[in-house]
Amino acid sequence: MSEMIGKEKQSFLILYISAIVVLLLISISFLHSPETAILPEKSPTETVEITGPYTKLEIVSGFNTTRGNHVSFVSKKAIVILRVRQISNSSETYILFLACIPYEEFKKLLKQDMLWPYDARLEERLIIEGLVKAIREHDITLLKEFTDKLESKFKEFKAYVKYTETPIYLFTLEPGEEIEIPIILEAPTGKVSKTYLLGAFLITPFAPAEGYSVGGAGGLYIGP
Amino acid sequence: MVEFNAKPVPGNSPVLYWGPYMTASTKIYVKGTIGSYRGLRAALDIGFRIYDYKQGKWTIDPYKSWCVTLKEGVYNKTYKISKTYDCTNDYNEVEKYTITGLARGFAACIGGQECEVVVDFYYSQKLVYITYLELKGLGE
Repeated sequence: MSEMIGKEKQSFLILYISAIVVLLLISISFLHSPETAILPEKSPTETVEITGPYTKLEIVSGFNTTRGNHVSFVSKKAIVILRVRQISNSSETYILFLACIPYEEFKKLLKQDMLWPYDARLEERLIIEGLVKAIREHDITLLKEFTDKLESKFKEFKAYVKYTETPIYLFTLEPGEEIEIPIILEAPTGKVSKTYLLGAFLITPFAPAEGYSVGGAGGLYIGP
Repeated sequence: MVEFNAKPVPGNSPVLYWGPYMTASTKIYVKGTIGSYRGLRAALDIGFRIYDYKQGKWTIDPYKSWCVTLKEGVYNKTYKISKTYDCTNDYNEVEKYTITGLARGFAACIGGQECEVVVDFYYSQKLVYITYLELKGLGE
């Protein structure tokens, strides 16, 4: 009889210890669960909307289109138009900047997981940050410094906005407003020796309030 | 959920066959603190990247990416980032498009002209949650 009671006690003890172990394991798994487990499906937070404008790059003259947006110079001067339309219901200030990089260099950067011109490890990214700072602080000297840096990236041809004669243009759009920005490209020899990426990028230096945004508006692959 | 430095690749994202217009959109939930640490100024990039499918492979298009840079501060916000593109120049070249979310933290030396950038940054909660990615054509 006492032996039976002993066995019952033993079974109860094993059951009790097992329960504690299971509870401990559950607690540990909760402590180490990924953050996704505690996330609501719909975040109940404030939503900040950043709606980029509609953009289109149109070739006007001076280029021969080989395929898509791959082009080559057919004269020493080419003209393209960047069309920008404000989609958002509020007005927005934009910095347009033109940037250039040899295509081979672009590919090398991609292999290192760096997307030109956005990657924080690139000089172009510092230029973007510099332009934002210059506009926010109304610093003309700084603006000139970073404009010069952008210009230095153009080796075999130069590109500039007709209105400013620099690769930079600052403008504000009202809701629904659309503008055309003429961009001039000049190649002294009327051709280039290798393929370049020419990009038209837009920065919103005041939006969002806690930073800025930057994105592509259009671009060309300019080849021999 | 996107961990920092996660490398998004095309494949599991919405795909859109060529059309003259395209709208890319993503909604990203950011929670935590972006802060300076030992002389490093931290920031967080969020946004989207567009890949073109041409000549039999996916190629990233630098002209169709959008990136929002968030500076130091305490965050508990959702960012909806959208942009509409004209794709007429892609006709006959790009077969289809796809979109991936972007979330990458970085830190740069404060005041440095030649900012050597460290990939990662001081971030107390490390939480960025991409709630959706969308790619749609005109009239969809």
